[in-house]
Amino acid sequence: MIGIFLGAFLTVITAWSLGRVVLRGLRVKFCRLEEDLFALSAGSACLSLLVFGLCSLHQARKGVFTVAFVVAAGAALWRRAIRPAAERLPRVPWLWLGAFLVPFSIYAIVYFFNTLAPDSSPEGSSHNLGNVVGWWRDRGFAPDTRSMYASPPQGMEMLFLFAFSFGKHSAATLVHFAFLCALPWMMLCYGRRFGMVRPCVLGAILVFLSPVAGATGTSAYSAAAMACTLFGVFYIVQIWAENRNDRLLVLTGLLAGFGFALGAGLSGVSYCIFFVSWKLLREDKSALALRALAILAACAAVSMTPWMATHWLLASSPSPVPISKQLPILWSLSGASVGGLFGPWLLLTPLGLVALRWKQGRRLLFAAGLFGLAFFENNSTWMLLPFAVCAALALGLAVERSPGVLPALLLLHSLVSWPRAVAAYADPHAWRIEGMPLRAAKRSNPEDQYLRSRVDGYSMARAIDQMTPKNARVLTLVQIPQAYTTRRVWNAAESAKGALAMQSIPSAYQPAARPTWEMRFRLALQPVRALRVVTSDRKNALWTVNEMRLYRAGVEIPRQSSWRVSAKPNARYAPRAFDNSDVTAWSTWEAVEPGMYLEEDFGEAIQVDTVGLMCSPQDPRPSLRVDGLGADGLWHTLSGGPEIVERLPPPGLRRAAVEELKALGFDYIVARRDIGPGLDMHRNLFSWGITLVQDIGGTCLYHLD
Amino acid sequence: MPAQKPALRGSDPHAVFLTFSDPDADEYIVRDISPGPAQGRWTLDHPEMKIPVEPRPGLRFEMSFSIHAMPFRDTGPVTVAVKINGHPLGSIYCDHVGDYRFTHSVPPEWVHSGEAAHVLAESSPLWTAPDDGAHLGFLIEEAGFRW
Repeated sequence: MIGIFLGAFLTVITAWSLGRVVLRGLRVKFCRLEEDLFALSAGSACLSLLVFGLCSLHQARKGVFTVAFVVAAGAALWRRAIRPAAERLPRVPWLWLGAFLVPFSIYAIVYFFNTLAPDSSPEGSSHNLGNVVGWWRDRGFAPDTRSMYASPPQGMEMLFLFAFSFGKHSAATLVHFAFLCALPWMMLCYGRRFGMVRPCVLGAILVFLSPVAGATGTSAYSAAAMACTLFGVFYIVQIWAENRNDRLLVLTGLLAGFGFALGAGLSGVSYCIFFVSWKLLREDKSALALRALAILAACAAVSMTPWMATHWLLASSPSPVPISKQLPILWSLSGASVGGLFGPWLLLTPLGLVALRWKQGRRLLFAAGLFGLAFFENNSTWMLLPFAVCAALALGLAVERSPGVLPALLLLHSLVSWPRAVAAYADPHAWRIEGMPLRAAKRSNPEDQYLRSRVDGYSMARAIDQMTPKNARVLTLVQIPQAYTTRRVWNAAESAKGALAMQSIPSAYQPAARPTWEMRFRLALQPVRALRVVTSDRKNALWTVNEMRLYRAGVEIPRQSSWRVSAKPNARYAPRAFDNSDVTAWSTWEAVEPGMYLEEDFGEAIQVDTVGLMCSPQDPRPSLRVDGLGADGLWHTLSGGPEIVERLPPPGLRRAAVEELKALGFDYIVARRDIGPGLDMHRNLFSWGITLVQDIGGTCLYHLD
Repeated sequence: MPAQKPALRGSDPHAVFLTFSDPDADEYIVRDISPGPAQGRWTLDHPEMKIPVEPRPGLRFEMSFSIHAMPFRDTGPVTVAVKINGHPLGSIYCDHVGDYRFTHSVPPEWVHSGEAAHVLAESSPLWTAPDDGAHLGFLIEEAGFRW
């Protein structure tokens, strides 16, 4: 327990101290409390950068982090940066302070004990802390092909790593909890500064008590930090609009860039650039606008640069997000399959449009609109938290003048957000807080036992740690929480290597998935320097080829090592269609477009009269033709559609699949023994060439022999 | 051109073998080989299997099998004769109980591209099992081609 609190405390204090030093260095003046909240945000951006640097140098060690804490706190003391500001924000009337403090305190206690309980959140226990565990094991960054979630900006995970080094998983979640608690206070400060206390009390409570805020804020996510940071950007820009102190733009840029590092994309940067340009250009101050934009861009780049390369070079393009009319209901009342819910109040946000009558309302709604664009990339409820912060304040403004509405909304929301009340209207599978796990939080219920009962695959994760060597590479066909094993675990959904491995398994044991069809294209016997099988139409399906073979007079032309193979798209995987294996394949991995091809280049002219493509009968077949590169250096169409010939694949494909998994670098595989490939593995261990290492309730760990 | 992978097992990419303990081995049996995965399976009157192989120079057929003691007691030495796509390939005389490996080169023109080679491996004399009257030959374990 001490480690947990120590880890969270050292992280938050280091961040806060760094932030204080930055604010002191910039000589910007904020009011009391306000400056602490901005110091936490700005310092977190700095600490995140520092940990990134240490990870790059493989110096992510407890001792180094301790030194960082001492230096940051020492610098803050030495620069006298911790002296509280003299200026205070206007007082909150007692009644409204009570209306804020009572629900805040009650829910904060519930959230606190949920935070202290071992993290069993879906993404916290898989990617977010899984990556942290990997960096901690490697003392920094190491090449990681394990998951696409290892590449996106992970500014928050850098803070998690700092805390994790002292107190493991719960210390990291406590750091996120600090941001969850800071958010409503920042909203209240905003209300005090800009004379809209009552709307801000309502907005702060609406957001803080929302089930999704409780669920994510008490887990190792970045949603609350993202909301806090983006609202900080909005807040500081509004201060700048009043006093035009360009030093504030430095802080704004730093926070906007940190928003990118937290996974908010460019919404923070876009917001401040739009707002500042609009204000200055409207006043015909284009030179000042350019200067301001330069400051914003440069400071944002400081936080963004470390993650930009990994984000754009390694991350795949986002898949289109399904958008349905049901989303508002899912986000507000159901929470099913979108990762949580806000509660009924979200359905009232259109009322916030009434606030367009006032300048503050227009600014809040513009920010809400921009921050809300995130849902086009990810329709998870928690991604809307930054939107919800601004929308809740606009809603507060809209209803402020209607007598009794504000207190009624406060009271109703406080009641319907209580975990038991949420259970009455939310989907049973919606992610939310279900109670107050006191025993788990105090560890009187052992952590291991708690996690075994709540996290699918936890027991197997622990078994993997116990039964496999430290450098073991595990392919899993079931869910394994990466955060609870130090071994690297791949699955098909998150990595190219996992997907390639999974391509081999069905063709090894499923009769329908075997390449029992050969598409034969007959050509007039002629010399060609290269051959391509080309798609000639559009099809909303993948095109997959297990093997491409060439024949002359009914006999296969032996492949020569000098031949070159290529493809469009996925040229790097083209060799998988020429490796003499029926369990590997080249695939477009995307919907077929005209002009996609698989190519074999012979370097010199050879005589060919038949081209054969081996494929599974269940694979969709696009319209194909064969083009040849003639002696004239031009491509000519040599054949139209193919004929289908049944073929008998070679025997022993199970063993071949396991050899393929080993070639991909895997040593172990985890599968359920009662379903799918795991059932076949369980029945035919010898044919697969695997050995059962551990069976936990039907989930089996096998060694690839 | 990438490295060529073995079709079945081991490190030899120039071989294709049917192992009768494999759960999919039945797909390659045409007739007269007892069903079910087992290390060795009984051959009956005219045991025939099909093995996918391309015509290639240096092609060889190989088969591992064993002569069981019980039939041997009654039949004495047996001869196992192999035909590929109807062409007599050769035979092996088995004069003791135990494991045997038959190996013989195959003219490439006997097999056809895109068609599985049909292999007939008959033994004589056959032994008649006293309980069900089945005509049993030998226990076949593995058969295939190497090139």
